[in-house]
Amino acid sequence: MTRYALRRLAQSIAVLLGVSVLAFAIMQLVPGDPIRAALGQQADPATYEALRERAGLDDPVPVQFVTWIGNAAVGDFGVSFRSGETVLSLILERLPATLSLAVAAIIVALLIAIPLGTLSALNPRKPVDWFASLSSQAGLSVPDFWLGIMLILVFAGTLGWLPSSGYVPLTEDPVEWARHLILPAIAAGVSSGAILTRFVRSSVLESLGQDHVRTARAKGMRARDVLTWHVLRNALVPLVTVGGVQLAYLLSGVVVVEYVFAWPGLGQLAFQAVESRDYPVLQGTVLLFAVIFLLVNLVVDLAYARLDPRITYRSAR
Amino acid sequence: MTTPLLAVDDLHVAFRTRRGPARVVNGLSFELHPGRTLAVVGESGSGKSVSSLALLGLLPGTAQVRGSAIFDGDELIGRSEEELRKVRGAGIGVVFQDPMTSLNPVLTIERQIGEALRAHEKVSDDGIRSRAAELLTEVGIPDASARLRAFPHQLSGGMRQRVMIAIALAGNPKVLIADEATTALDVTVQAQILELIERLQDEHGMGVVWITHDLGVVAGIADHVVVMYAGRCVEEGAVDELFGRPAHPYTRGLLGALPVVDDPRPARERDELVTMPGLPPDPAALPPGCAFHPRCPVRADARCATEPPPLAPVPGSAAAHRAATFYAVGGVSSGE
Repeated sequence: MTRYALRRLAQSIAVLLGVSVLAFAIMQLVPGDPIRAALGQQADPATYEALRERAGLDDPVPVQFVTWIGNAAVGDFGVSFRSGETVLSLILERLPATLSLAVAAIIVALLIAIPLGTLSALNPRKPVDWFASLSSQAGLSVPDFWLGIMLILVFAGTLGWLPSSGYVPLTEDPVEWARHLILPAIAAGVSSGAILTRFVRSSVLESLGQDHVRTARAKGMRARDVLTWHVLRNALVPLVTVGGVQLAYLLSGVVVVEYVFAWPGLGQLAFQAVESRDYPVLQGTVLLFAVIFLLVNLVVDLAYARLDPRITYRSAR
Repeated sequence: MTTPLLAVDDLHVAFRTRRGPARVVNGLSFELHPGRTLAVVGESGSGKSVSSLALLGLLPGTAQVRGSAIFDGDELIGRSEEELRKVRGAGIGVVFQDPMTSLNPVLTIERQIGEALRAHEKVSDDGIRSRAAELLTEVGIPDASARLRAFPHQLSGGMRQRVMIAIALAGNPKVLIADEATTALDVTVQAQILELIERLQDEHGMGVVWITHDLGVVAGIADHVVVMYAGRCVEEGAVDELFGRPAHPYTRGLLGALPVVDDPRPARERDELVTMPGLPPDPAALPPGCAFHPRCPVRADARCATEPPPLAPVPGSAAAHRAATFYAVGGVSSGE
């Protein structure tokens, strides 16, 4: 298990190197001069020179890459062209907001998917099943920005129950943090919930037909215990993979939802970096998203072995 | 005769399908007495497993069950889920065919035996552990307390089936249904499992229903045999009687299809294995008359194709030997 984790870690580092080449290439591929592109033609020559110097753009490309990656490895992604803050501090500043939103959204998704998917698997081709299939179709087709706006109109506007936008750190005011989180979490979580509902339905349906479920009933177990321990418990194993991918997707910033709710997350940071040609920030976020995906996948694979004892990880032969 | 432990009378099971009802069990009756072994024999699809699942209410919702099954004085058919739940495991235990798929791959052996114990009484965790270890020892698994922590895939097929038996025994049932319990196992392990169940039957005084297509198994362990075809009993009787003087053409066909392993004659003089042409009928389109008549080598009576022959005593046999055929050994029509 430890060896497996180490091997996976080594693989992840290789993938990261690949991604870092791509991230680094952003700076090189910008037509002309990235600093000029960022600052515009009318920029103050002194500022221009200072930035060029700091970005190390006068060095040969391989040297630039090695320097950049060496710095990135110790958490130094450079300095934002726009604000002059370090990229790391910008990312760390946004991280709690994104973490809150992603985790809340995946919880919303699971709260929709597990009951709805299970109910529809237990009542195939019955009204509940039709309702579930219809609503997951709807959840998939409704754009999240539209859903976000509708939620704001109804719950923040007409009913006035919840704030329409903004983010309050958990450490500052837990109640306000939660109140601000609800609407964006729903807007971001519904489409994942729709995807997962279908998945839960087919997974539970498959699980229901297993011989061991019949054994469990033949033991005289209560229907509820059979459902929990023999149907859902087994259906959960494949759900972890799909759920993990959804979580990674949510963590790497739901740009549109963050925009609608003025949510200061990583998606917004990346979006603003593109808009203002703030290349160091863009490079940093791209690299961070890659790290997030790799980490979530690693955790999913390790969780698999916990959930299904038949899976053991040995080092590759 | 004592009152039967389990008396099934005129059991019918049909499944709703798009092509209309599939009549899988059509008027099955049998009795099981304490300490006795009843074998239910038939080809795949003859309705033998479905009947046993029907008794316990373990069939899917598309199944319609009619008839009567009195277990220990109480009617099982039509009872509520909760009432049936109390019978499952505690009154009637079941050992299923494939011990790999019949055990949950992601739960430990202890947990799976523990569930069977907890289903019918409150037991502490320590109580569960020691009781589960006792059960494993009883079914012949060495080093029981270590095995409790194992998962099914870490055990051999024979071990897994022993675990299944331990689970079936956990509720101390009066009846054990072994549904093709040895079919998925190799021959030496089969023999061990047969022996084990016989021993447990003696110790616990259980009535055992063996559901199998393996006549070799039947000959070795059964007291009474019910031969099923297309959801009906076509012949039943004491095991010696039925093997010695089979009356129904189907039973005779089944017995003819058995190879004789220790035939002393040289190979070219031995009888060839008899095979029965054709397939069992589609339960959604049962033939009129005797369901076996399209495959029957005898078809001695005009009524074969129009009316189902009743189950009637075989002339010259003990009363318990009955067959559903218009033709009988010696050419005597038993349907009269």
